[in-house]
Amino acid sequence: MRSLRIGFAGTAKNTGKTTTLSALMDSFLEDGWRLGLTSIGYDGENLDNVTGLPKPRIYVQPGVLVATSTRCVEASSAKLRLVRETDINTSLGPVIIGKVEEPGLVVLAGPSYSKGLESVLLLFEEEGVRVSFIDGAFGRIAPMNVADGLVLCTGAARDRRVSVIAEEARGVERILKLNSWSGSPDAVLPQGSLIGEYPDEGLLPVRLPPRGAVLVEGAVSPAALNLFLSSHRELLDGGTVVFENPVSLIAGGAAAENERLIRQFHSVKFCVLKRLELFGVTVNPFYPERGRVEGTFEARYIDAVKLLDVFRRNLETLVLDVKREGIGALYQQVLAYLRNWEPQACRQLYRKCTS
Amino acid sequence: MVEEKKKILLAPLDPVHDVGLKMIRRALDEAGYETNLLPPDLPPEEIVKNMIAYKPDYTLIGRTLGYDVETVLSRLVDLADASGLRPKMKMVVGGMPIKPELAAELGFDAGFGPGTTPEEVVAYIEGRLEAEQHTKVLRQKPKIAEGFSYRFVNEEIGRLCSEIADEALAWASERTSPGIERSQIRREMFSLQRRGDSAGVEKLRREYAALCDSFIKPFYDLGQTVGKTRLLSESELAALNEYAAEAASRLVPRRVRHSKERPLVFTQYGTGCPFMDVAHIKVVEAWGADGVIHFDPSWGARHEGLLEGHITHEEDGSPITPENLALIKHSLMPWTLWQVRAHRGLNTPETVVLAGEMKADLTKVNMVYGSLGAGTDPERLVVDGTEALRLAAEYGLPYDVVTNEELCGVPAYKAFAGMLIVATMGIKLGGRPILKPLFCYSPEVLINGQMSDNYVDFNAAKLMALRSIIDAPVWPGEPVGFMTHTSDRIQASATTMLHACLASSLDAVAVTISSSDEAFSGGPISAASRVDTLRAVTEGMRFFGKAKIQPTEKAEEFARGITEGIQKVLQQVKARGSFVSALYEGLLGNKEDGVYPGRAGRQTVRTRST
Amino acid sequence: MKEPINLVMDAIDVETFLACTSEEEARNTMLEIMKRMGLNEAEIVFVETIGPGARVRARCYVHKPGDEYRWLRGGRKHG
Repeated sequence: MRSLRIGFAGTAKNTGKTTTLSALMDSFLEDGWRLGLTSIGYDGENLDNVTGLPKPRIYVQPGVLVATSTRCVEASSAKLRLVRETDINTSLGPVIIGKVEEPGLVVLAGPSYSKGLESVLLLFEEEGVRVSFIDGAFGRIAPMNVADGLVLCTGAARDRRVSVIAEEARGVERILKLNSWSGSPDAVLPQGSLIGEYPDEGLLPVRLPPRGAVLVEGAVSPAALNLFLSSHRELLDGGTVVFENPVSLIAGGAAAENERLIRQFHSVKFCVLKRLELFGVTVNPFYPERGRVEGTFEARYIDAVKLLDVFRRNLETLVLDVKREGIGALYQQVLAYLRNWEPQACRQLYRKCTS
Repeated sequence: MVEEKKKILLAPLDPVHDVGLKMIRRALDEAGYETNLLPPDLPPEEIVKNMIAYKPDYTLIGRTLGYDVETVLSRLVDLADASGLRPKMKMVVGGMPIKPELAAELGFDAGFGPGTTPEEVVAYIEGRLEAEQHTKVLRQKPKIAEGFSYRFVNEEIGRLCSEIADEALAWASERTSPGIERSQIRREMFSLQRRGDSAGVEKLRREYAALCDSFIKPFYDLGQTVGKTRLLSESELAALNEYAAEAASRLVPRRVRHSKERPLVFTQYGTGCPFMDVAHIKVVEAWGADGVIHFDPSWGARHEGLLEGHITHEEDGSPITPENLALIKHSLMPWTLWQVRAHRGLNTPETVVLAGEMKADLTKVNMVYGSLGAGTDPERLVVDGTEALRLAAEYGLPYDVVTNEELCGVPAYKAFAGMLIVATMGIKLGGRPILKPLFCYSPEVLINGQMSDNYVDFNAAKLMALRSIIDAPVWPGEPVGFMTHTSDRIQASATTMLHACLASSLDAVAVTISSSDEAFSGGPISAASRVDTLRAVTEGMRFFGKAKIQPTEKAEEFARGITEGIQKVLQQVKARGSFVSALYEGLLGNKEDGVYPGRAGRQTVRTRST
Repeated sequence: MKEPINLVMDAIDVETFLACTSEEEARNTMLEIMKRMGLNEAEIVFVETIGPGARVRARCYVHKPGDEYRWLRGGRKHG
């Protein structure tokens, strides 16, 4: 049976991604869910500043399945029993799936691309995992398209100006809230058509039926998207442009600009083939400031109340400061989604947990 | 069906530097791949567009460090994934100091550090190495003693060696010693251990103890420590393993050799403490050494029996025990060659058993040096050494035959005659000997003046003579430049480098180098001094590349003299009719030369009962 | 904070040129310099005195084989 797949994307290091992920995992564990944990790359935040060595960060409890590379297994303090080997390789060795036998910290470096992540999640699911946690990696989001939903983690470590980070989060939110679309498109722009400075003219449709739908495959660059939309303004007016998934618009750091274009061309309807739920946005007032001694950092905080306030006024999604407010609201949000998404399994588990 | 050529896209993501990728492209073209080199400094989006159009199997990104490089690289990987390219295309980044952790974080399949050769990239594309290895700069364990026919070019010398060796082998085959018996017991202990028969092992251990001398015996009988040794504790071992693993995870080695695959560069270790040994091994591995050689305490050769357990020693030389060797072996990088020397004492066959069981790459056997220069009774060492040669062949271990007696004053030609006899015995037993003449400023040349003008001619002559005699690997030892070093680290590094480059110029298979504080007698060798000479040799190899050092015409003359001398000595040994008697009687080195037959293990050889 | 000298793997070497007139003076001066730097058990590795003075190198072992190596993380004891 398919698991609920939750991705955790941080806008920068020190935005509280690990804290959020760990807290949410603990909530599910307390209620007896079978969990899987992996990542889309080594979390570079976990380097010991003094020694440059991996520093395990995520504490895992017995029973959790973990997919990570062999070298990271050695660096973990949790005791893992090998459950499955995979043919996915990383620069830190092949990815294995292990079951936590004794609790401790794990270092994660899972499959770094979508297809590999998908196969790890399928293996999790064969092993009975019901909720899969996918830790993000700095600067990349593409593999998350195999997830069902995201938790976005942002905060002062990204930028100390609250309005800037709120606007950015709002952009991601809007992209993730694009409606889903199904049907047969009137034209298809194959992969690569809207990447780079210019749209690939050779591949553009000559003509569209009125209110037709154009499917855009693959990633999209703002420059090419802009030219495509402007030069076909009349043709596309009242029509629909369908992207494969929201990640196509976010990958490569293009979220803010692509979102601006989507708002600007309001006579066109923008949809995605596969949606990605936004479960919530967590905010963290913390930021590290370079200390007076070379190589040291001091902890600083922006106004936490104002941070929450600005975010809540600008975003429709649940906004949470996990350190202050706990994880409860986010947990309830995911459970609510799960109830609709997979009612039967959920009800069974609910009975089990409440009896 | 014709297999389609693999397609490789090369993208210099750097405003200026694309030389590295051009070199890699040339190597890939030569290896028969289809390549496409993009213009430098395209934005990630344009590179992805090219990937979509070209459909490569691999994309190599060249990037030296620059502002915000990590963001640019991760954006590129992200776009490639979002464009559906990643399942069929591997992405590799090179040119920047990239650790496996960073490669994984950025989403690359592998990363190549600076100094990676085009050949290494080709090897990676051809799948000859695991992702994990090439990310740390891919290196394979080199083979040292292959590609030689072991046939005598000089037929007369070949005939003499063969006849002497036959006599020696026949003589030895009828004899045995406590050393041979211990080696057999030790081997059986390993075999029982693998089967989990601990009672059987314990029984054999008692038999073993009975064959040890009064220095070693109390260790087995009473559990007493021996000499200035003590057992390492569990927590010490845990810390050692942790240290080695952590150091290994950060290790992106430099390369010592430049454009040539030979000579392999070896260094020696043996501080007494396996812990410091491992620390130093990690240092020399990082600075590019190809191999390391284990030095045991001098008393290890003089006593009957080896110790067991994780043992540290207060003075020079790290005790040979199964556990110590396992510890060192565990800490080595997968490509590092490892030599465990067996050559000179009363535990020669057993040391080969340990080297073989512990999966060492090389050992060392020389009965002539061991009995004339290292204090072991000739009769005993010929019996034990022959068994060691047999065992080395059985374990598939190549070994060097060194002429250290040159340092005592034995002229090169005499020492070489002994080396060739032992090598011939080894060849006859199915082994792969490596000839190890010294590159040194020996007493012989001090007295006779062969090096009054330069150090090149006579050292070159040694190799020229050996090459005119037999087609076998030659590895100048040990360490090269012996007796030319002073405690001035610049001088010591320079002379080491020059001797190593001479070895390279003469196409030696390997070379052993010292540290720059080899001549300082006030304390142990320091890690920084090991780096000194490795750096010097690296620069020397870079400077000379494939260029040759030109000896003067004297070298030919010296080589002829050495060859004639070898032949004369072999004729004398042949005429004596007994290799062992020749050793006792000084035909291969005598008191006047500065050596005399050793006494350790006298009258311990027994005739084999049938 | 880590004690900096604990990170020395084995020995600290100090190399310099002393304006002095004899090897003996060079040795004594160098050892005195080492002592004042807190490196009490120093030895002279190398000295070469010609004309204007001496090129000299002194060494102090911080960790000898078999010592407790304080460069290990966590400062564990070991041999």
